Amino acid sequence: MAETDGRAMTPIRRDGKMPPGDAEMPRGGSPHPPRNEHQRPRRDSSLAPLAQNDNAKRGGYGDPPRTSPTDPPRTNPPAEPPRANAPYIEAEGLCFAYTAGEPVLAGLSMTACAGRLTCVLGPNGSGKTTLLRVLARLLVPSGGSVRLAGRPLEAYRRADLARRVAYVPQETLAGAGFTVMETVLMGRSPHTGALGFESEADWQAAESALSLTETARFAGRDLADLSGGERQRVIVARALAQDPALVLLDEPTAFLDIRHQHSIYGLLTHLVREQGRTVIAVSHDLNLAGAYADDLVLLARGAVAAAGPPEAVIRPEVLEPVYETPVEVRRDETTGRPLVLPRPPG
Amino acid sequence: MTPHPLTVRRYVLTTLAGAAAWLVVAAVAVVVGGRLWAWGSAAQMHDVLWLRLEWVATASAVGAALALSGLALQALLRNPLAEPYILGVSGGAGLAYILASLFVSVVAAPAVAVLGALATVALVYAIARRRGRLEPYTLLLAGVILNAFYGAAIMLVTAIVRPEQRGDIAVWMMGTIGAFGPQWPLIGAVAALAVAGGGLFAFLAKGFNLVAAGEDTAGALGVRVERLRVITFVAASLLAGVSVALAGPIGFVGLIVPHVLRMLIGPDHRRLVPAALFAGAAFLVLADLAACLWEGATNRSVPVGVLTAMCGGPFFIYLLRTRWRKRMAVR
Repeated sequence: MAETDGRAMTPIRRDGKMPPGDAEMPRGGSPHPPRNEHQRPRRDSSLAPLAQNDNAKRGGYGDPPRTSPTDPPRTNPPAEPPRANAPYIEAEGLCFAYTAGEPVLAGLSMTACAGRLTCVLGPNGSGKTTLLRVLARLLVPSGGSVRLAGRPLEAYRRADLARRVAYVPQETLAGAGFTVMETVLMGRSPHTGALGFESEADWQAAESALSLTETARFAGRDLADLSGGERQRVIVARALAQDPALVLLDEPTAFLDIRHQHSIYGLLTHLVREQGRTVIAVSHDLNLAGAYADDLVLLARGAVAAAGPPEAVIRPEVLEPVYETPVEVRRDETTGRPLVLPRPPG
Repeated sequence: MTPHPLTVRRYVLTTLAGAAAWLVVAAVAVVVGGRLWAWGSAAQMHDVLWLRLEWVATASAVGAALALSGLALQALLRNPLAEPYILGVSGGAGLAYILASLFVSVVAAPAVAVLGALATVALVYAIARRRGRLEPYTLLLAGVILNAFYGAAIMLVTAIVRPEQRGDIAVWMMGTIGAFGPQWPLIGAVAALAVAGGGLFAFLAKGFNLVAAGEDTAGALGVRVERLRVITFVAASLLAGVSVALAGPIGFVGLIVPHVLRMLIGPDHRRLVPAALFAGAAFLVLADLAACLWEGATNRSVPVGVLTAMCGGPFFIYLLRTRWRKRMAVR
């Protein structure tokens, strides 16, 4: 089983506070310190309304909503806030095939730790999107298991899981006529009742998500009228409105220009560093992943070929057999992160 | 458009406004009438009123059922052109109804029509689904082709039945209100199913909104997409099937009504469902009133299905040229 390493890091609590005694600790053990090293993780002020919403009142991620204090507790026990660097989602021996005899996932095992940005890399057809869909329980694996916060994924009720895990798909259908605000409010769906009437707290959460993704000025516009980059930020805002502990993104920067690529990854870094969320993003861009990720998981033919910090994965001897093309790896003089330069074969 | 929160008050107001609009239209239709102009004696008045009530009730029940069916199919299939008539659902129900009427029993025909509708939706869906995803163009083409096949099959049946049965089949196939005498039990059943369908879809409306953003997105937001799909297909087929059994295949109601409502009140299915229930009823009552007035003025009957098709055809082309392209935009 290939796993991301569990390097020691300063625990980041979901409320943005440091645990006792750790307040001045640096992010020890990390080979590549975060860009905002000087800042301690705190909830962004723009997210203040999020802190006031029903989740915050419930005191933790994914606790089933109570409509009144007298409501009996739901069958699912309240989830513990994920501890930073503790394994948050663990896949073991995953197998999946769309067509019999053509496995897409072949005994894949990986772990993503809480409060970290993990990027899943790999050539076309290596199983990245399928892995993400299995982690989101959109596909049921034919073999293996997934555990979220220590519990089997299938033990969660749908709505309960949706309050913990957000999924941003590769393709977004945008022509239904919904405005940006309506789209982001959809993220509150797991928190609303059967008829879906949103409360004031839901609106505040959506407005906070729009503010964080700098899309508030589009609130009244049709989603289909936005550019690709703007739309992608709105879709991320919808995921944030879910207030999840884990965000799964399938190629969030596909079709985006360089500025928007860095903007999206900057946002993901913010979610991890400032809010303590766990993020897993599928990417085709080795340099972007290498520049921002805490951990990389490299897939090849439905299994993990390598996993670990970028320096351990972005190496010619690791990448060349997987991508079947020669590469040169250099080091970015400013960030110290690895840079991949493809070389013509032969 | 500035977004507004959907509160219980706004929801109730939308629903009440729809109900009021339908009641006004229904009252006008009963008073104005069409085919029967003279009120005459008290006994004649009673008969005329009763007949007009039957037509209005039939048109209301069928219109509501078809509008809801179209709305649900468009939402679930994420296809703005999906509609029971275009997808061949009405054709499948029609063929099943005719075969059952001719060879089994008229009493059993409505149930068989529902089965025909259900089988058609399942077939279209199976054809258009590949690797777990729906292909919208394939879906539409599959519906069109099945519709053509059902049309040919109905023509074949019409050609081989006794000459006196041909007229009935032809009139029924054009989609008419009240052409075959009082059918209060069936009207009551269709009306009850339309109201029940409206209630069911009101609870599924949140899921419809999320499915519009993609099945994976809906699943990740807590929707049981497969369950939603099965329930909606069965309910939409049931509504289309019983409508066909009552009034024949009346096309484009399920296309025109939901789209006009989207233009008026936006794409939110939580508002669209109650609105479609009443707007569908009002639309077909108005269409039937127009057909009745035409008949009263010219003494030549025009089936309501012909009128809706004459409105729906150009509307379909408009959607194909404009909103369809935008609807299918992907990232």
